[in-house]
Amino acid sequence: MNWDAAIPLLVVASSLLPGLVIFTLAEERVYLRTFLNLAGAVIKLGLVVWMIWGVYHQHHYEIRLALLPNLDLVLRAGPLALLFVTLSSLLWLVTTVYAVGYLEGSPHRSRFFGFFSLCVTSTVGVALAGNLITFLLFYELLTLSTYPLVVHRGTEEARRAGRSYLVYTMFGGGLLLLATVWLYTLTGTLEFTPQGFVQQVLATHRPALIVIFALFIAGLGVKAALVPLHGWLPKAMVAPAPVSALLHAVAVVKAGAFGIVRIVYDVFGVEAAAHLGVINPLAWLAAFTILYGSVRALSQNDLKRRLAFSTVSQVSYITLGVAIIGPIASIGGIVHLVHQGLMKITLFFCAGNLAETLGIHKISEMHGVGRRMPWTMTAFTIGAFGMIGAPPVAGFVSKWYLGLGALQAGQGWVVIVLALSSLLNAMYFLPILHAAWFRAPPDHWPAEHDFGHKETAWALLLPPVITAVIAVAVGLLASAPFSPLDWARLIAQREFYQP
Amino acid sequence: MTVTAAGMVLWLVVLWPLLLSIPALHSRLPWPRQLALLPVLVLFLLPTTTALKLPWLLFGSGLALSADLPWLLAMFIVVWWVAAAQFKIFAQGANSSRATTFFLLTLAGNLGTLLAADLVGFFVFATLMGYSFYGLMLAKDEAAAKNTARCYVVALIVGDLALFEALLLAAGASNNLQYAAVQQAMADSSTLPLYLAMVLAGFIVKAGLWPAHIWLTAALRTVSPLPRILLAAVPVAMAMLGTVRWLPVEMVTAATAGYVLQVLGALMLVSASVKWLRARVGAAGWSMLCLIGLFFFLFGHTLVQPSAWRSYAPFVSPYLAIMGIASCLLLLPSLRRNRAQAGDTLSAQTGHCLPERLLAWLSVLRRATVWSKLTVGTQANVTMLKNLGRALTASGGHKPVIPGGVWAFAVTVFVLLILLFAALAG
Repeated sequence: MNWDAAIPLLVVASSLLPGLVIFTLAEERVYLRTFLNLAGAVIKLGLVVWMIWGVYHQHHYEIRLALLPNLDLVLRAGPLALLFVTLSSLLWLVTTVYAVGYLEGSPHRSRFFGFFSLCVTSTVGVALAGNLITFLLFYELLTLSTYPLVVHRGTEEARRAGRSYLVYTMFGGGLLLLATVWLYTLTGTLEFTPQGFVQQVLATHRPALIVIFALFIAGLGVKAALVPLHGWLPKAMVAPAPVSALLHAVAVVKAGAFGIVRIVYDVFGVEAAAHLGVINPLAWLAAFTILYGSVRALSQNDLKRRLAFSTVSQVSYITLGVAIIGPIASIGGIVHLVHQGLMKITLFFCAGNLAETLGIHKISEMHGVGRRMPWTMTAFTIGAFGMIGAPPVAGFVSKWYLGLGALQAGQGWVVIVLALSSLLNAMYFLPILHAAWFRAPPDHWPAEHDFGHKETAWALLLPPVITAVIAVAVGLLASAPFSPLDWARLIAQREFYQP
Repeated sequence: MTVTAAGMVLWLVVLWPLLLSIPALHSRLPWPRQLALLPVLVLFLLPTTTALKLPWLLFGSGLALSADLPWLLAMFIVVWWVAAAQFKIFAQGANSSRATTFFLLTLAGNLGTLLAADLVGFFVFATLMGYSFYGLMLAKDEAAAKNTARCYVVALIVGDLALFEALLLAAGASNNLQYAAVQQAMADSSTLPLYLAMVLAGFIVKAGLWPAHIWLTAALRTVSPLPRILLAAVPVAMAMLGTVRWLPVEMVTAATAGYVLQVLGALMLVSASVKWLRARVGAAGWSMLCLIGLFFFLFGHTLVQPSAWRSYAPFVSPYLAIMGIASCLLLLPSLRRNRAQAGDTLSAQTGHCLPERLLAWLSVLRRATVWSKLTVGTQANVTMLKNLGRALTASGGHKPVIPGGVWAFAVTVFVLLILLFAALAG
């Protein structure tokens, strides 16, 4: 095994090993636990940067470990995998810093951070999976490692949310397994291949392939929160803020959306999917989810629930981008994988800050909070404007490519959906901003904690500020080399222009 | 100075107020608002061909000077300098830092919109300007301004959505999003009617043309004097400038759109007069609304008869500049009243505001400016009348520009009278 082959394995191990050690640590070993968490996150990010450089210079990072006869566990760092791994690794680092500050003094931290590390290990595994069986293994591991995080508070509400989460995701996992096995019996391979591997059986098993595609989408649609499979997501908001950030921006929801991208591009291929006639229904479903999520978000007074319905809406942009056949819309969908993550994690960090510092959970309690917590609310404002699609925040770039791609593909109705979505996003984000910046603050906040002259603890304040700055930077520097947009172009080029 | 260095100056001039808008910075500097304006003066020293495109920025955006910019930059400097000088009356104490942030962000957006060399840059800076101006409207915590600001932000969102759709159509037709390239590409594009509709809808809403004037007339009545004196030069003038820059004027004939614009422009004139008669807007506001109506009336004419654009084009920048300056100066008395109402609490800060003598001089200048606005208005009207006359007397292929030459003449005379009254009343 050469060094290049080992790197994907090391990327997975860099969070797995610290996670396993953290499980064994006593609660009071705060510094060691924090060191292990941060060291793992930094090493992972360093390895990912190394791989980005390598892939840019035509290096091939792949490892194969025998799993079953004719089925290997494959970890491979292609452009699409690297995009997701970079996002997960970067956001894991900031989320770890945030979680350390957020959970300071609370019980069961070793358990929390152990599963936290396992969760990121699974996400990275999902991203680097070189075939469907590897993808499935890590995808299920993600479900199992996230459940303890959702129920971490141990309240009855948390347990209910956890049960709902488990039922939904295990059901989705079952559908995914069924589809995978069925596909394997038809094709004899599960290896992710640019432009798919079902062409060989396209003519002979058309009805079966349509059903398999539907099973895949239903299975992945649970985590990707496609309507009507989204029910677990708003309920899971009882989890601590770092977990919400992880669910919405780094791991779970993204794994579902990423899976849909994989299925369309590397299992079926866009041409075969279009030939089967399954792409347009997927686009309609995504469009419906975009509008449904936004409409539901309008009526939520609980801040995290509003953000959760916003995620339901925004994540479907990725699916929509993939379902509009064409390179430009694909760029929009793929790049939104990163952009949505940056903007949404900012919003969840800020929501956590408001809850931890002032005890604010509801939007009606946010009057004048911008004057009390200006940095937090500036970061929130950037995230919210990004979600609306206002330039120059990252969301503008995503919407630009989605809209342009839709026009290029002759699907003008998508532009109307995008416009409506932006309007609805403005309708549910701008009142929050108005209340926070322009309304008079109350005499007393619901449950204010004293942080001296600072607006909140540094560990809570820095992560949202950093992610907000990155969200603006990736929008402003969209055309720069190595930007997410540049990377997304590379992926779309591979899918649409390879002979 | 090399071309690149001059181009970098352009960017620095825009980035400077953006940087100063950080509260931790501007709260430590004396005169941060005036300091933000100083580098703009450098732009007058640069050649009008100065430009710098940054290929890595957004989709390859750039800033550029052009031959018509000196007029608009002059407006920019006068209006923003007056606003900066009067700022202490507008916001004090706890509100001051927040208001300064919105002030500087609006200023940066305004300047960027003026200097943007392409549609995306224009859109980005106009968005920054628009939302920051919303903040400026509300910075003083006045109950009356809240409903107005809500109307304004709805107009802003609707306008931006329409312009975003137009941007997508433009990007679909042309890889190069610089104004001239887009105008050329859209003139040949099959999506021109949709593009035209989106651009006009977007900018009509943003400029406050009838029937989207509700936010503007409300703003003239209810918002604080400081955002009020910026209204004409900031959101309105930039929307009118956008109409000219985004559309392929002179290259296409769009008779229906042109007639609609002419009707809307005329209705704006009538609506403004009704509001003036009912004392819902003052003479200054009335004059501004009339100038918006007249602008779109004339612009509609160029859509019906593209060749007319050659006559109008030289007047656009002076027209916008003088509208901005005149409206600002005409609205100055409201600031003075505001200052008088502030009473003793401000006496200690008089040194930071415009001295009484200077205000008196400005009052004279204000009257003079109205007359000079009238002069430009007169030139534009004379040009329009010439074009109308040609069109009405032409035989064969020419249709009358608008039904009824007498009506057109009446509209023009009406506008001239309005401006005259405004000058006298001001």
